[in-house]
Amino acid sequence: MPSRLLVGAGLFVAGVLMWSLGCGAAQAGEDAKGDLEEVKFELPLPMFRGTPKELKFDEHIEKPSGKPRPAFLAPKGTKNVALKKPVTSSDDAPIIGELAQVTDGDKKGSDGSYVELGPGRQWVQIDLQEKYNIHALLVWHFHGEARIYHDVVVQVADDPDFITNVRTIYNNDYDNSSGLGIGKDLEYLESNEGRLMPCKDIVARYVRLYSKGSTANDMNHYTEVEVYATPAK
Amino acid sequence: MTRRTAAVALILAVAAGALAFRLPRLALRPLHCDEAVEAVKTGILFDTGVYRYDPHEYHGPTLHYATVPFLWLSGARSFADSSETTYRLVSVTFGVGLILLLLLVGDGLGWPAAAVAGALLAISPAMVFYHRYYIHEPLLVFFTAGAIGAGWRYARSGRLGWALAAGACLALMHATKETCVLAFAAMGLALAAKLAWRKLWGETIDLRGLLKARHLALAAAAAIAVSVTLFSSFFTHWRGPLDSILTYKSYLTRSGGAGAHDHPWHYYLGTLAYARYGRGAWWSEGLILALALVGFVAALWPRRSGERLTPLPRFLAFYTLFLTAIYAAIPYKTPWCALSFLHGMTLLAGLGAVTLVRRVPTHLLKAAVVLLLAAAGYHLASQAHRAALDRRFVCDYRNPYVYGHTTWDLLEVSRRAEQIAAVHPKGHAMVIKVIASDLDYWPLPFYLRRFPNVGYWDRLPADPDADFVIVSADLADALERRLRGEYFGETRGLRPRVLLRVYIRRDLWNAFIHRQAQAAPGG
Repeated sequence: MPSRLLVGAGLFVAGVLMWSLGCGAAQAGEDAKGDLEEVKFELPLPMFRGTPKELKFDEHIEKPSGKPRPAFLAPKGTKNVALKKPVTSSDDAPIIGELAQVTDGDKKGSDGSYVELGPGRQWVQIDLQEKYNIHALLVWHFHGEARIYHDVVVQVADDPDFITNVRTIYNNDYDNSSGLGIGKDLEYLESNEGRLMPCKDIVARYVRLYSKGSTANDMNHYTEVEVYATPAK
Repeated sequence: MTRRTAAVALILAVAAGALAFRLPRLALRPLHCDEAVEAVKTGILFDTGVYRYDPHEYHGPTLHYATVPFLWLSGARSFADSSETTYRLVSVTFGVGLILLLLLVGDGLGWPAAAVAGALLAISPAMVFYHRYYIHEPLLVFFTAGAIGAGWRYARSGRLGWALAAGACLALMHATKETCVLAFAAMGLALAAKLAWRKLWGETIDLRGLLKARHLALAAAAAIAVSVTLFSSFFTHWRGPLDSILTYKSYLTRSGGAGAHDHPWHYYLGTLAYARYGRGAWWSEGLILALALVGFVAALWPRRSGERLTPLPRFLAFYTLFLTAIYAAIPYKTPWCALSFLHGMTLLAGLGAVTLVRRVPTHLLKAAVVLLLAAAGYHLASQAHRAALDRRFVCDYRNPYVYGHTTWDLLEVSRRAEQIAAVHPKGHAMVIKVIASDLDYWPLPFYLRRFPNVGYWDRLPADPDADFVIVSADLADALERRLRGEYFGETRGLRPRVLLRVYIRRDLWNAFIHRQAQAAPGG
């Protein structure tokens, strides 16, 4: 009798599991076919393998998983709306390169692909030229070698002076040394995959990215910034 | 106004203008480890009144003694009160003084040439950069120029006072840096070469009356008196004068090569001629090098150019040639050492510029050459500004005058220590332990000077726990295994590719973060 009960209970549990798995798969399929779809990112070639020994992954630094990034789902029609859009900066005269390189589509980790801003806290700002419903940012500072940029803060606003409706999308300034508030996001190792910064319910026209040097030196580099968005309704 | 008066006025104006490049924002750049070492030694002298010459490191006492009046005037009560600006003001003063010393040699070099040389000294990027550096070179070059100037004045006047001044300057060179012997050798060789050159061209040589034995003896006595006074720490350390001679044993070994600072023979000349790293800006003191070459030719072959020159340019030509060759031949090279022969080159460049203008036949062409030189001078000045005053380049690896410099990131370590002290019940009396292989933690002792309880180790101590622990990256893993308390860790840069790890006691870190969160926007 007890064995029959056990078999029955097992069959019941298995049935419930099968049903829930089936429902989940159907839901995912609906999302993929319905509102959401996978955004295909064009990634540059990697420039280095592994991580240097001298880099310590403290509690405020994300340890690289060593695996490709999971697929990113976003509403249909999501695309990079930052391409070729105008860029301004806290450093009007970059040491190397031009500000236009931030949105020129060249994401290579080689020497000629980045703009270099001066030491200390610096920012670049992209004018998307109209309001967009932003779903994610994909950011490459410099991925020619293993390094971690400090105080990466990304904000959006409705005006170019960042006074109206300023919202923070990403902030890994763990000690408020940049004065924009303490961030809960983690510092990360630069790679050819770039840093994906997903966001929800963000409608904005201006995007500003701060940084404050890196583990390599005091300068601030920007290879490419992509803003994945759909037109704001 | 005579040409001499105009040139003297111009040299004074140039010296004042040189301050515009040297004086602003002296604390802009973090201290180089060598600057910090010297500042700490000066701090000990200031706090305790004690200086002891070390024959193995740190060079001579003049830099430290010369700084004390600046510290008095700054109002600092102790080393902990002092600032980077005060120390670097010493170098600025001697750097501008170098231009004023042209007044001693103006009649030998030619007043227009002296004025041009003054302008070039004022805007040479290397001169400007290292005249804002708390190291021995600005003093060494100043005393060298003083010795040459006083020697020249003695040769012209035969007055005892100038002989004594020359002797004192030679002693001050000795008491500044051991590399003075290279300048002494170049001076001796230049005097010999000058006489040989005159003989080669069939000129009569009459040395009678040029040097009086009594003057020579008194000058030597003055030199010995000055040297002994300084090396004996004002007659309190009699081992010092002996060590000032014995030191050359260790410096001879070091200059022989196989060290971290070994560079090929063309390192200095190549760096001065053209430097560009990566996609950064390019740098060149080619104007000074090219004009120095013209000046060299004009000094040695004056009859062919129709000029009537005094013996001084010929001496300077040989002196600069020999000194450059000696520095090129020694494998041990650091870029600030170039100041010694660059000084000679700049004097010759002044002569070269004047020679160029004089040799051009028409007024129109002369005006064109002057305009061209002015444009090149403007480029030189813009490089000097970029090297010394542009925050993006003052300690950037693409600046050719930057050598193993401290990163901006290190300032964050001392800033963090101050932040943690602000939440520590004992404030600055909190315990800091600095542990680094080969004692490679400089310039931290300067930046932690306001913390009385700092200890330094070159290996892991048995009990490494403290409120604030700084460790070189190679010892970090071993330290983590030995630490008993809970810590927050972060990584900071010391120099390019040299990292430090900072461990902050967890409760202190939490208190600090709590305070930061309250200070944050909306906190």
